Amino acid sequence: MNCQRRDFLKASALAAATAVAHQRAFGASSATDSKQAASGIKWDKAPCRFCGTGCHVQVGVENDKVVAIQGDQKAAVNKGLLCVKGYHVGGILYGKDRLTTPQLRRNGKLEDISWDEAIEVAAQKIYDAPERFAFYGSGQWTIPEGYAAQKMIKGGLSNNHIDPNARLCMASAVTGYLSAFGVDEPAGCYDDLDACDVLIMWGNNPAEMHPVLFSRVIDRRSRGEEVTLIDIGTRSTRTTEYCQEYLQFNPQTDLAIANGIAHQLLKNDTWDKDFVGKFCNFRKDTDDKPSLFGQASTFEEYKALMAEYTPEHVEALSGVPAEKIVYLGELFGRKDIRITSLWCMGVNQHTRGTNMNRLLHGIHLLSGHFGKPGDAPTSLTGQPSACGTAREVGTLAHALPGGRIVKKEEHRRDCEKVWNVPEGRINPKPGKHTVAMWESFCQPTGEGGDIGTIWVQVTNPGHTLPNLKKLFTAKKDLDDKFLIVSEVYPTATTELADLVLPAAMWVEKNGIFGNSERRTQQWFKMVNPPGQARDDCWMTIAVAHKLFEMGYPGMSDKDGNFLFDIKDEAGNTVPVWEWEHYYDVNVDEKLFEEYRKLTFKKHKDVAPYQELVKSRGLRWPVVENDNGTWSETPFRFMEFSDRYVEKGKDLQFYHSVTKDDRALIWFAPYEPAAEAPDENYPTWLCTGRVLEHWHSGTMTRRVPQLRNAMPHAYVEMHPEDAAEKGLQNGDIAVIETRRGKVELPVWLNGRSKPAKGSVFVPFFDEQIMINEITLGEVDPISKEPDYKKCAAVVYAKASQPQPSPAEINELD
Amino acid sequence: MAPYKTAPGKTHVRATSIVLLVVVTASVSGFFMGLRETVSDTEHVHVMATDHVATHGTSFDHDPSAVTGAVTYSQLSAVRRGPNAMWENSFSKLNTNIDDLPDDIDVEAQRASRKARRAYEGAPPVVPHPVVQTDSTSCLLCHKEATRIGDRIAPAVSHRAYTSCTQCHVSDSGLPVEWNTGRFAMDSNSEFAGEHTTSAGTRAYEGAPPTIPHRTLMRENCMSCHGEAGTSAIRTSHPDRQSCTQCHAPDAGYDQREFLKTTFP
Repeated sequence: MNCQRRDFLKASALAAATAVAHQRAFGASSATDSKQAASGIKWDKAPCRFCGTGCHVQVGVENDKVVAIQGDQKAAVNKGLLCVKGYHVGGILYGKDRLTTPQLRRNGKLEDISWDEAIEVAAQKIYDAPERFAFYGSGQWTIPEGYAAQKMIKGGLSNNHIDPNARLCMASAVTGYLSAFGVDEPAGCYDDLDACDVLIMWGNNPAEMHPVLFSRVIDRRSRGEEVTLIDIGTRSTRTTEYCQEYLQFNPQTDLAIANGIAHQLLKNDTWDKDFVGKFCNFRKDTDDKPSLFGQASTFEEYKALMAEYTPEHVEALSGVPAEKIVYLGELFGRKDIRITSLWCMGVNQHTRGTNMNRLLHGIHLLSGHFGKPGDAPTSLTGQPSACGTAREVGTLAHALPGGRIVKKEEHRRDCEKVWNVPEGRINPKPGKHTVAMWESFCQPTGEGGDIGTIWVQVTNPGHTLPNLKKLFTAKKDLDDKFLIVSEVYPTATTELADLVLPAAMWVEKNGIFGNSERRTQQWFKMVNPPGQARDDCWMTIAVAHKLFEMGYPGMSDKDGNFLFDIKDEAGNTVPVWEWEHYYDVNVDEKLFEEYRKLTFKKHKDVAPYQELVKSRGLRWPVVENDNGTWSETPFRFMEFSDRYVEKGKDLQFYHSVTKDDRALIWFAPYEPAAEAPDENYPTWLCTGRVLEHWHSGTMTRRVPQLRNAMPHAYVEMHPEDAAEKGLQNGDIAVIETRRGKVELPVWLNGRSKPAKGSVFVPFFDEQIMINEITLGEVDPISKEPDYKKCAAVVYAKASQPQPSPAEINELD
Repeated sequence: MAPYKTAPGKTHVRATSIVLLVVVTASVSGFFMGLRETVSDTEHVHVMATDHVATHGTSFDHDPSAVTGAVTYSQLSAVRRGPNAMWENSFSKLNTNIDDLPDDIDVEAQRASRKARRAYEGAPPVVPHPVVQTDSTSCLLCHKEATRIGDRIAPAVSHRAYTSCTQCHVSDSGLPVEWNTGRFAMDSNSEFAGEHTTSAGTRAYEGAPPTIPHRTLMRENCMSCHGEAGTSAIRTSHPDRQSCTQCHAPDAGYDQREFLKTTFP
């Protein structure tokens, strides 16, 4: 090192100064401080509370409070890294306005009541009209919470009106997997991200929504590996910044682009004849009305139907240049590269969401880009247990645990047997799905409003349902409708609640989640919930037991015992419906082990609870080895990884719709959006999320670091559109649809750039609820609404005077 | 010693780099100015800065008014621009002036400021200025190596340059567009009390090198905080030494102990 004399002088002066500073900064007592602080913190693992990625965090607890978070270095999902929400997840427990007392609405006002009274009120409402009761849950339900709710309503009340908010988020992915592979959930996993040469993101912005998965890919590039990133989207986002290709399409025409790729594979004769010949059948929708399994088709018919999707035709529809469609076709036609497709809400929240999912599976199957690490079509989920609870436990109006459905007698019998209830207890008629449930709740009783009471757990429908005035706020004028809400903070939903039950959250309770890659993850309670807040699962069991006490027959099993008869090691019933005894036994473990029995039929074998305790999550099917250890399955249907595949089969779709171990390649046409811009409403309105806030912001908006970074919603516009309307950065715009209008500040050239003729508004802000004006149209098969496309008109708020700083301060 | 210092006798190289840097700086700052399109923006930024604390009821130790609002090009001629206490437009100067900071070290203030930017010890610090730009290149322009801006230093990143800065680091300064409305009363104040143990490491005996009193994951570059450009309160007394962990051992008490237990034989 060639140091100059001047540098030495500087260094020694610096040394002297810092030595003094050091002494002043850390006095004599500091050493003991640090030791105490360091040793006083107890660390334990938990999956992050937010998205479906399923990162594991290490939670640092001191004096019954969460005080620090680290990325878990042992976790295969995130390998020690988190995103900004994950690093601040501990803060979500400590908002000042946590709900801590049960409250009942009397004379229009919420008043504190006791837990005993609250449980009694809820039970009485259900007792009086069990068929008019509905459970509205969530992909944030832990597996035992969802299982308890499922068992209580379907096994206890013989009522199937239970649906999760996941209906709003990944129902189209479910119907996509079901119709292509005969069984839900992806074949691939996150390891595909380490192996792919090309990553295609379809209407997806993982840089903000699944940041840890995204950095897993781009960090490969900084290690010198080559990965081509392609963003096929309707607006340029943070993700776009990292992509080699950005293909901007007109909303809804993703259907045409996928078909354009299939057309190229057929035209160039680069489709994988061997793969398709061995592993695939062709399928199309039934002629009269869309259905989950459609009807058989042939290659010739498929080819004929695809014929019109020439690059030129696709360009005309989508706006993506024909040569880029050719380029995508060439990529899929190559055998020397591995292609992974990722998608999330852009594809799922789509009035043709099921079809779009089918087409994505279709191009991967047709091209043979399937069945090897790195070759995978994978749908991401937005909630931590959308897969684990909503999909696997089947807390949907038509489903039963373990991939079963209420319509099938055999499936009902399986559940009745495990639940020890009489045959015929489970109702064979599917209940109301989310949109139908809320529509019915918001209609007067005499006029088709069959649902009288809804119990909401772990979600905020007053904020996240589409077309809120029709599907939620209309409840306000209906006196005989009763809304029970288990919540952690005041929300738009508790605003209209008649009974509010304060809930424990995340590490304030035991829990199990299931992430996007079939990974089941367990954690233990680490801190006590504040005030009188209690576990959602306890609430369900307590209300069920109250019904049992009231003599409601459905709450007894065949032998006259309580439906949730949980025994300790000595075989004695533990009164878990009494809060003081709830943690005398691990209720999570008991419920999970019972649920586990129902997971084998569709080869979704979850691991025993104690195995989950030892791991950072295990990907099902989890199979026991001869030596008593357990192995997970990273890649499903593939012989090298999945032990349910018969030897020598290479690839076996063992739950195939056609019962011949083959997957289905679907044809689905491009069809226009449910509502498209016209003369009066000339602009596309798209809604979505941002990095800092998670969904309705109930949790993240109470974390100062996250709230300060993203304090409120905004509308993103194309600068030329803004200029045309006389709007500048920060001006207030009015966005109006056929369902109403909202006002928002304009943000130009900000984080993302929407296409000309379209605007984007994030939905996290409960002060500016964009869902008051979104469209309630749903996919005909998945019943999932389209939040990404509706027609709006945008204009400047008339003569908006610029407020002075003083005026703004006065407002506060 | 440090890579940003120019060796004597290479004036022509230096001159070229200065010219280049000026060009780069001008383009970059021009780009940022261009982002703000409205004629009323100077006023707006002021509103934002003063309003910030009042609106959200949170306290920050940096002075929010330290953010100078950019003006549009049409206003440029009317506004005095040029090097001043707040603004310096040469990266070469910004990078070399870091050790000329005033000597009066307000240790408490520095520690408080450091703490205010972290939810807990080890949390990724928030960024005390607005962040609009989306790629990491613009972040690393100032943060790849320490850069002096006015009387403050933009610290060098303490870890390997991951390529998605904003995944973990978000601005504490909100959005460049302001909004005041209230429909639902939401209390954004948090009672989260993070662990903050910014104190010295333990010593085996008087004169022994202290252990590292914090986690080291994502803080591999010791010199980003403890070097010449680091917060003066925690600068090393011996910046000439190169291998920090030769003498200063990490303390398992701060790390994922389970992880350490299982990997240690």
